[in-house]
Amino acid sequence: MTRLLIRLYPRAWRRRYGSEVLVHYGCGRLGVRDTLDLLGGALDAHLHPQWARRGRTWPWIFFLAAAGTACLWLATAAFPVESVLERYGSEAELELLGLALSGGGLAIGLAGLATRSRILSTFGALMAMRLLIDAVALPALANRHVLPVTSGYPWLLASSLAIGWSALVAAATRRLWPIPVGLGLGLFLEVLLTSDISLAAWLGRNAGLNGPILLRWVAFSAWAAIVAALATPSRQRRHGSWPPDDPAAGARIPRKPYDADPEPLEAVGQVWRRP
Amino acid sequence: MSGLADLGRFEEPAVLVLTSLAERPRHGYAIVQDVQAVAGVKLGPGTLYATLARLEARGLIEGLPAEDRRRPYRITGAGLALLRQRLQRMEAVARTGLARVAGT
Repeated sequence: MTRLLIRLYPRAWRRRYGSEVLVHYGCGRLGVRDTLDLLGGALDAHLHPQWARRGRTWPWIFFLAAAGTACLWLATAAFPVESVLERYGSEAELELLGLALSGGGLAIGLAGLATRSRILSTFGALMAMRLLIDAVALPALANRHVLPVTSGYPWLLASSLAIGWSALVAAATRRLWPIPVGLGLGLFLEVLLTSDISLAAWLGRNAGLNGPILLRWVAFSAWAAIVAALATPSRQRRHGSWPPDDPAAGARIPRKPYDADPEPLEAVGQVWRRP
Repeated sequence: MSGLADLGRFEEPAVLVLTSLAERPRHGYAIVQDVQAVAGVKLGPGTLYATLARLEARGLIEGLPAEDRRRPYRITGAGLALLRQRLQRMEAVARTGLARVAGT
């Protein structure tokens, strides 16, 4: 029973505390109170992963985004795709591409969750939500098929701007709170550069510059920002967790890689013994 | 140094665990037994390890190499200072409360 309950905990938790719990609570019969306590602990461990706080993902925000995405996917599943294509033609294909990309974002988010990469999971969630909102929610709200601000090719560009800036800000600051700032900045740039009142259009009209070429460069920079954000290793990957989750038998215990402890660590230099 | 106020429902278990470890390093089950003997509170396994994880993450306790699959934990200097501060505050409240109760 205890073994079964422990399986409800995250893998990192099981590696860290699982064998201890099994030693202490695995032999005798587990009471109702302890069973409920372990169940509550499993939920807590998923919601508040404390054992490797630095650089971990923020799973609940991803779950929230994924749940929202799933709801929207279910809602859109009610639309007959063939009739949409007949009615709207290539524009609808673009929207379907948006839906596909949104699914890709979901996959990226899941990959981030599996690899404990906060940047990746946040980026995936953002991509899934942003593209889905663009493809389905905003046109539906405006009672139009596509919004005038982000129709056609600039729509993909606009999405990449917002997502790219968000990811870049998250990667540069390694904090979650500036992400809305990045998103806001991206949305601002999106309206500034791709709408009918855009800077690109204005420059094209008044300064004789080639608007589409300018937009291509902006798109390139946005996607470069996304690549840079994804390529930046997370804090956890740089330092590794301490103590190691599952050290090999005979491995030397590494020195704590981050904040200096208030007192020297006695365990440093000793050999990690596997039972 | 982080306080314990942000621990929410794990604040009281955290004080009990720190009190237990202030004597000597103990593994999980020994902490449960000591807390039960000292305070009459039985910490469930979920609560115990959620508390240990939080205290470890805050640098108030640290895990030592495992012995027979049981990892002992010991209190750090930061944990000791925080516990002392917390117990002094509790003592002041208890003293005042007892004096007021005696006065009624």
